[in-house]
Amino acid sequence: MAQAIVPYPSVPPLPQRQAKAEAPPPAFRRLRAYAFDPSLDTVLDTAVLNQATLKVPWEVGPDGKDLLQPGPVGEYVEIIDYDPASESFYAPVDLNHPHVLAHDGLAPSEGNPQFHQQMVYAVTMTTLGHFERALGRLALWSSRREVNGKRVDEYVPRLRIYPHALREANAYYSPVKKALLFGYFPASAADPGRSLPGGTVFTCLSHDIVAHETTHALLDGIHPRFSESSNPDVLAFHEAFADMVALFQHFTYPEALRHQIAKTRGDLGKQSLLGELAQQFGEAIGRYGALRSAIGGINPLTRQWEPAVPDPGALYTVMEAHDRGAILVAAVFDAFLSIYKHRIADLLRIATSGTGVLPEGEISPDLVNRLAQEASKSAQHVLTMCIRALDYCPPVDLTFGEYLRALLTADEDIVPDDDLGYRIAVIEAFRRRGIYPRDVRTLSLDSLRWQKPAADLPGLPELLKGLQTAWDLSCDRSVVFQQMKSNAVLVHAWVSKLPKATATMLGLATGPDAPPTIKRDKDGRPKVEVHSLRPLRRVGPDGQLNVDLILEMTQKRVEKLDPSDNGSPTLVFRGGCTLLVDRENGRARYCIIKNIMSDARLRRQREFETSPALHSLHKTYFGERDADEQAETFAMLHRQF
Amino acid sequence: MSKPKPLPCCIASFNGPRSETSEVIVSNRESIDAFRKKRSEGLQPPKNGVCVRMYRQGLGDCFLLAFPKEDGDPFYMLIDCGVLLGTENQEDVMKKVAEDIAASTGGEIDLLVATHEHWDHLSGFLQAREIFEEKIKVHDLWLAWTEDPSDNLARKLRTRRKENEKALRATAQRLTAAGAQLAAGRVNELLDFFGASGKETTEDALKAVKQYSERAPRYCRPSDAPVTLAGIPGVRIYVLGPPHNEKLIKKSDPTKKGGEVYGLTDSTPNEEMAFFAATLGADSDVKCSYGDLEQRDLTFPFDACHRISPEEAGNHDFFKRQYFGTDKWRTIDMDWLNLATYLALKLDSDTNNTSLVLAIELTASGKVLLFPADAQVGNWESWDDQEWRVNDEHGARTTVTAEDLLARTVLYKVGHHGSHNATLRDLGLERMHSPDLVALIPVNKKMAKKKKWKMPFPPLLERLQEKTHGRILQLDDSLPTKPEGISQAAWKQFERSVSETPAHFTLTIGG
Repeated sequence: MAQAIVPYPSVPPLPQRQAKAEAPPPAFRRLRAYAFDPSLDTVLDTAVLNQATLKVPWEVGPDGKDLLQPGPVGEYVEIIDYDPASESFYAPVDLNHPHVLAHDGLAPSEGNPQFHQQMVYAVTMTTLGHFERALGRLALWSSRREVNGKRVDEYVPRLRIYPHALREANAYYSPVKKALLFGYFPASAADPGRSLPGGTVFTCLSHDIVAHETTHALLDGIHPRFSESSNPDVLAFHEAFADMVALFQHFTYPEALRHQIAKTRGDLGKQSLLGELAQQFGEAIGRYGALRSAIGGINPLTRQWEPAVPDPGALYTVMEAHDRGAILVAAVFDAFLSIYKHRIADLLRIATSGTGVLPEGEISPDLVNRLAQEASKSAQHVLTMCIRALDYCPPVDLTFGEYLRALLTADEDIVPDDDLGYRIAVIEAFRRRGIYPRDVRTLSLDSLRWQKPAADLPGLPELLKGLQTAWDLSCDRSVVFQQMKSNAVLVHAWVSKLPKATATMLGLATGPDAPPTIKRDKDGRPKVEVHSLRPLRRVGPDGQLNVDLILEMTQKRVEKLDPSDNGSPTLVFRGGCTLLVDRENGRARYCIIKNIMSDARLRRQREFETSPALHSLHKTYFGERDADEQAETFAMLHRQF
Repeated sequence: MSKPKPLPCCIASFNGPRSETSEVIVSNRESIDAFRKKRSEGLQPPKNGVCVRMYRQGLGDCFLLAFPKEDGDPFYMLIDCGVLLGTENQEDVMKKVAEDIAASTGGEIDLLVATHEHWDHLSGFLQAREIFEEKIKVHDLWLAWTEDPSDNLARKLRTRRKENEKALRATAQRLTAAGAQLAAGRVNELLDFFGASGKETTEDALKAVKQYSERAPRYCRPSDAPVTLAGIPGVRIYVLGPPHNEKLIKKSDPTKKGGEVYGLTDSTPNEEMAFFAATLGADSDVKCSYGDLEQRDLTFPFDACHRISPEEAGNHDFFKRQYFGTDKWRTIDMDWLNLATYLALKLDSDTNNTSLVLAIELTASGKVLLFPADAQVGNWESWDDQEWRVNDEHGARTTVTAEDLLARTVLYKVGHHGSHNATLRDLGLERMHSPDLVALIPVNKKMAKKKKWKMPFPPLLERLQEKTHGRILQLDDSLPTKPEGISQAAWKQFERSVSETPAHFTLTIGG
């Protein structure tokens, strides 16, 4: 810290401090990045708002020393720039070099691989920050599950990121390698949009693509089973959630937000860059709008942008993961718009003397600022809501309807008094798109909220006392991981001793009469996997901070895909529950089950896995994908065919 | 009938842009009477209507049609003649088919149609070369406009197809060398549709076909006016596809809406170029535009000053520690090569989409025979872009649409051996309303299974069963049995119209 200039000679000099006192590490590292993607830099109108300076946490180790190494390699991610198609490596950037530090990082440049590394690092860490803040705990990547065909559960400290791994118009998260692979490709010569025809487009320079892929990895860290496509919603949810995070993350950049609000005169429902994902990617592959546009699209006839009209029947016909996911994104965005409109209603009344009609021309910069604040706040709330809802999801086989229930329950836990009508806005937006849970009678808040288990779970308070649950933002992540593993052993012992009726209540089958398709452990008992055990902070009705624990237990049945055929391929059917437990009193607050014994659900999964909509040319020629390929869900999802 | 009549010849009332004058060709090889006699021993069409023969050579298309001419002679039309590469005794099998064609037609094919450049549709023209050269005379040849050397779009598509094929073959070798056996196998499997590597290819087959034909080929396009065949005024042939549209030709899959996915590679010719530039390497001897060195350098994402070679990186502390050191399971040396499989799939379906699609109309009854070859989504979807003006039986001008033709279809040659994406639902099968519909599926389940291909696609087969009331002739199956709920009389009528031998099914359709 620089010495302040002493204003008046009469003031006595400041007491001499130790001459060599070191400044504490700053809270943030400021890094420059493209707010959207490089293509916006070439258009006068948008060039000004395309450069964002992101504030990412200054990574320090437990000893208080700088932790970030060249690469960058930090606590959470390691960026290794290897481009196998070009048989080239690119030197790692050192973000701690004084020349780099002095200017908020390297200046945005497409031709400098070190800037690419910096941008990927900055965006990944920003996305990660949203998760950690929303959940109030450290983020863990999904663990390594297999070594040479043997099952393990190995801690993976860092997500690996390869900014130039592929020479194709693709980028994906690899659950097998715990890595993000970004591609680059020459822009379409026929219709390059704002890119240079034939010039290289980098997926790692698109803010949305980086945020999107990072979110896939974070989601996989919380719910590893969400990459198993057991119903049409699961992978669609993965895509939709990644898009939602990328979308709302934009609203945290004030320059872009103010520009867009001025341009759309406060009506964010109009076409706005913020609502478009992956601008450059979309344009370079020859389309006008974005790759996936949540709220609307260019009408091919008129070439005009039009908002998407909600179609409640779409969920029955749209099965492709991205398109289906777009329905969910649109619903959440719609809810966001309602919330934003509700929040700015008074501002507009003030600004228009009660007429509600803004005068022609540009709106006042003061109003723009205030609207931007409200938009930013609404977006932050919605983003937090969406992320927190992850803890209220069933452990396997998620549907959009269940996500709606999770959203509402999670929000009620953190904001008991819904005076601004957020939850109503969400229900309304989902209803308009035909997203309902399967098993509720009415669309009222009361019936949509998750329910308590019907009876107390014996032994739960005692179990809780034995668990170690220090997992706040200041812990060591590897310790947290080990703790989770040792806790899982205790939980497992508890589950196996539960009486049959209780196990049934949890959607599990643990008795000797459980179906033989459930694997048995070495003692001959049906196997139960304890997945996750994480703390969740919430504000109680009295304003006090409470901590809940989330327990996830699942079982697996290996069934025949076609029950009438002896030589049928198999199908993995999973069930179990997510249990939210109040740590104070040891009572279960919610029990979210996916019954392992549900025949109806098994039938639905069979139907889904054999449905023609899932068929592809790839399948026609190469048949079912083998286990290795299936593990790389996202690579396939993005490549199609 | 002693006065010699003009012999079968081609197009009579064809007034499309590339019309050819009808000429009388008199065979010099034999006396007309002998020819008559030979023909009368061959495949005989009914007095009114048509007779369709599906050969049972294995997974592949070969159809012989016989129409009655006004003068009582038959008119023979052959659509494709091929079997999948890797079929057992393929040469012998195809020679037998060709012999049968020679015998059944008296050695004269009035009209030969080669639908598209895939081995399972053309192989016989090479494998039974002697028979086609010595025993069979072909008067006319129809090809899709995509084979037209004077069409610019066709030239562009063909050049790119050839280059991609070459580049993929070299890439497959590279994949094998790098140990990516699965991907290499898949790419090679798809390339087999163009013939075996280093041997005769579909390109050679097409050249051979052109030599067999006496007259220059007609390059068919959907915008052509429907053609009435010479001597058989009651038959009109419509060209439905391939569309003269690059985008549609590249669209192959129904499930991904709006073609975004195909858009992805459609309009980025350079994505492939960049990929092949890397797989082929600077010293590749594959001479195509991808080998161009100057171009190649542009496919690198960064200037040379930024690049560190793997050898140098091996001595670089950071890479030694972070990449080459521990965590071998997280390396990515091979992942980028997976694109090859997808490019091969794309090449395959692009070629299928150049299929010449013919609808053959029997004007008196309005019945239609539909031969879509291997057309995929883009091709099917384009049929509605066209309508045709024709004279009805009273001589009045009327308009015919693809929807009309489908509604009147009584024989459907199931597209692409019954795969999931070669029979459109709403714009295809669901438009076929004729109660007399019969489906022919040129598929061999054993072969498909050996290749692990999903053909025929079960949901499609199920719907075909319903639509045809069980009247499906599958190349490798015996005659179907009567399904429940169909009257004995109706089934008998169907059985009477079909004859089965180990070599072929023959179906007679009344006019």
